[in-house]
Amino acid sequence: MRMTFSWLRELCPVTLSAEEMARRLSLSGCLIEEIHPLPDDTLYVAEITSNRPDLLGAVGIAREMAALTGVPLVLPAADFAVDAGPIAAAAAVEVHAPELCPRYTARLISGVRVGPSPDWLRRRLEAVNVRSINNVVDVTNYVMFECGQPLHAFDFDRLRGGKIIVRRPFEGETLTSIDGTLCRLKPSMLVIADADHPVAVAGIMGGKESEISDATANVLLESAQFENTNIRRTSRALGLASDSSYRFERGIDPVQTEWASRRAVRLIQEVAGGRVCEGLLDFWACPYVPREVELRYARLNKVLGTAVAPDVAAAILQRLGFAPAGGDARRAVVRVPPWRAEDVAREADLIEEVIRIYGYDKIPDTGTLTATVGRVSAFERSLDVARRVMIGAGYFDVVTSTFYTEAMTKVVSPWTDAPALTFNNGVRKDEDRLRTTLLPALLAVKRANGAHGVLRTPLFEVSRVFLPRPPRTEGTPARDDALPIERNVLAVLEEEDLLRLKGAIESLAEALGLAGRLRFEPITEAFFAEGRGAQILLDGARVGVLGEVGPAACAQFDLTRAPFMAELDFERLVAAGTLDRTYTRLPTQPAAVRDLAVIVDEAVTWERIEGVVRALNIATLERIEFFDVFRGKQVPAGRKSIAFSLTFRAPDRTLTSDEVESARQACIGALAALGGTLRS
Amino acid sequence: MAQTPTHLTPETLGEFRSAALAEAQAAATPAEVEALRARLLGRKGQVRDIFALLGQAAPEQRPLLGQLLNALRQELEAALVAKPAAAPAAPPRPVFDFSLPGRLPPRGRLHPINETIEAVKDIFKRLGFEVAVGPEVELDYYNFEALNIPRDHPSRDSFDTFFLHDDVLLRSQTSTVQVRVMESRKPPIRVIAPGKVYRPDTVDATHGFLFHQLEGLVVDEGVTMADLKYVLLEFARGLYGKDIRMRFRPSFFPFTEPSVEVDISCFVCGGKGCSVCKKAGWIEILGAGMVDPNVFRYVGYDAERYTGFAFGMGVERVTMRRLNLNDMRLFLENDLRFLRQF
Repeated sequence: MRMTFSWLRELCPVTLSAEEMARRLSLSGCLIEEIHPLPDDTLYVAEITSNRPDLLGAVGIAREMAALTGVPLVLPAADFAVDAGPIAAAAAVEVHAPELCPRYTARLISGVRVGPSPDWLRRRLEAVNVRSINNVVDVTNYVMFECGQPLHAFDFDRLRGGKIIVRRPFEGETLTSIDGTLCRLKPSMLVIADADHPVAVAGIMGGKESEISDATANVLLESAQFENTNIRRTSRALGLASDSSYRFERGIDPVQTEWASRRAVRLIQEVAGGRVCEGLLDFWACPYVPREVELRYARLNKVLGTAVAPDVAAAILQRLGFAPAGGDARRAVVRVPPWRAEDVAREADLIEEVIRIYGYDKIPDTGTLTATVGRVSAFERSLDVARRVMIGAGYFDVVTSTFYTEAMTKVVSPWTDAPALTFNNGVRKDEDRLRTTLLPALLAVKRANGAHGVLRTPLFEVSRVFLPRPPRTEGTPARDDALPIERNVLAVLEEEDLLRLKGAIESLAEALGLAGRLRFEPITEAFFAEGRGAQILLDGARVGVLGEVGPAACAQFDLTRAPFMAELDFERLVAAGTLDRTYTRLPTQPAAVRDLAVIVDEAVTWERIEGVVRALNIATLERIEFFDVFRGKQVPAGRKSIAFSLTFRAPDRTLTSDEVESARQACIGALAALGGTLRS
Repeated sequence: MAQTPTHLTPETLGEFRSAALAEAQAAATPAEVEALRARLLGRKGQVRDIFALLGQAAPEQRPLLGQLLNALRQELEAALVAKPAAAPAAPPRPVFDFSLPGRLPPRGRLHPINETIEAVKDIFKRLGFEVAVGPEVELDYYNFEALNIPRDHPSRDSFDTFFLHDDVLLRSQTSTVQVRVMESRKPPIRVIAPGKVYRPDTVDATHGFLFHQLEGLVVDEGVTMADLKYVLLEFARGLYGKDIRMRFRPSFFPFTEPSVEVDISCFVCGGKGCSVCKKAGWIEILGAGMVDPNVFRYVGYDAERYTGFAFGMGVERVTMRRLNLNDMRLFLENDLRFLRQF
């Protein structure tokens, strides 16, 4: 909200500079976000939090200035000359929906001369960004910015029956507001109507028909209180908001409602003439009864860690308008002023009132927290390890969006057959799905990088995917049944080849204490190129997929060269693995290493070769290690040469060359059973 | 060159020994070694000449001199044989060009957002905090109601939210984790909760529909706002430097009372005013406050017995300041030219 310093100083004539006043206001709860010099004045731009609607007018801010400086608040004059007959003879107010309109007041001024506003009025409104309309409307806006009470002036002669009826709209009623919006009203809303039909959407905007024009002679001035929630709902439903609705939905001071009416009448009389009818039409369902709230001084200091003296606390509350209503040496009991009725109801609220004026800077910054060692979960530690492994292997950690288009969700879905969850994305309409896999997001990152000429993009991401939950999930609080399963997965994009990708996964598995426990089993999956996709199994259950990205996905992401990708259920890996390690004694005896190259049919996998060798149960065979696979010269078509090494060792003695040779021969014999011949 | 003694005593033999060993030491090339070997140990070598002198020595000294001579011969043999055969003189190697770029091993990078989360986590872990997590798709109850934000309340304005349906939404703040943690355990509680949050904001340099927050919560008997100040000051000094000053400004959050915004003195200019702090000298780093008694009521804690504080910060904003970067859209683009800079 914009406000000029001169306006504030009229209400609380402080001698502080505009800058110093702004600083002290900001440090006590009225944030002056910007200060702009004006000719002969200073403009404040204040950010008012939603709990402090009392600061949405100059009086409220001046009241804070008074509490901070001790300079008294000077309310402007609200008296006027009454020179016409009683209002009750000319007009009537009926409130049919008191639950939505706790208070409604009206005054009548006849014979006004509508015209341009005087300079002082116009300038003040312009400074706070309000366009000058005419003297009567300008006064209503002026008083709103002065004290926070929204007002509305009706052309009384346009009100059929000379009557105001505050009621819910009938089904199908409409109203054209002064800004030209056609409002389709619903019975849940509230309108101001005359004897026939609505003339204003209560608290939000007046109707075109009854607005003040140059031809207006008689003005009915509304000053009212409307129920906050209904104003907010209606404003949202109609897409109609105003300075008035902004204040009403936060709450206004119902006692001030009547004062604001008088203040506005005085100003109308001053700038537009007219004769004021005697009296006030005032519907007030339950006049304000201040709430009494207790503050225990010991509790104040217990929560804040301060030593605020009781009399200091009591004095602060009193300066803020909280009238004493009892209490003793240990506690204060105060009455909440009407302008804080929405916000202050409990001891905790009073504690805040005291400290914000007393000064947060007086709270010591020496804590008394005890030393403690926090637990670090296995997930936390494993995530740290996994990231270090992946980064060390050259992969870039990325953070991509949770939201997918429908097309993105169709690329691949390793974890569920159910369609991705949808939501209403008002910002990017087509990105309305929650992802069930990270793989497409990494492809999109690769595509975007390619567009910049960055062609090698080794990537990984650990993030959550959102899987629709089966009807009842064991171990979930019933309330959380409505929520999807959120699973942390780790996705990888590799540029070089499938074995480097697999190696990265194996290295990760080793780091997580799962060395040798992952199995890779070919699957048919349209996302991967034919014969180039596999699922990763841990104890028989799928914990991931990997493969070469197939032509369809490559085309979809404009990739000319297929990358290699994997996605792993990170939580399962963590649960099955361990970061604990124990020492294994280093061998004291030398090893004997023998290399072999064996030519086998293409169909014979490494797993089978390793399998038959291991099946021999050679006690001294310590390790069998793959080197490479070779096809070409000296290897017949349809066959391949696989080279590997065998490491033999006995724990207690040096093996003789005869022992090693006979073990090697046993291996060769076993390989022969697979159709393998030794390559010389 | 070692002189052959004219008569043999332990002293003259000692002089010869020193000189001969020094020569053996000095011989550098194989040719030199060979020549020396021939001169000292050869068939007509000096050692043999000295042995010949043994007969002229005093009879009572002969056994000792014999021993010394044998020892000397062995010493010289060892010294001259042990000389390594030097490698054939290699052609001089060209001078290494240290201006050539090194061959880089592959090295990925941690995303700057995750890097910041780790840095912040690290500080709080050292202060005894544990990391807590909660779902990103959340019940209205945890995102709003239990945080003292009723439906149709203007305080919801600051939390525009994506809804999946009526009661299920994408959390708009990590404060949700506060309630879940308190529901699941008893005080003392000292946790932080980093994670993604979602708000229907139009994307620009300082807004996104997806960003990260880090929430903190401490609950115990006797926790005060002074403790909050202490913890946040420790944090700020850990992240921004030990000379940082801090101030609290009143603010409003429905789930804390009192609520404050926390400013630190500008870590670039020290508070004098610069472009980073927009001439203010202060930079807002997070929001905090004492846990509202209503929140305790929702989770069934005795608000008289326990007090606590909570705080929350935007990870993107922290990161942007750390990196001196002014467009948060870069974070979700994952342009490797950007990621490689860190």
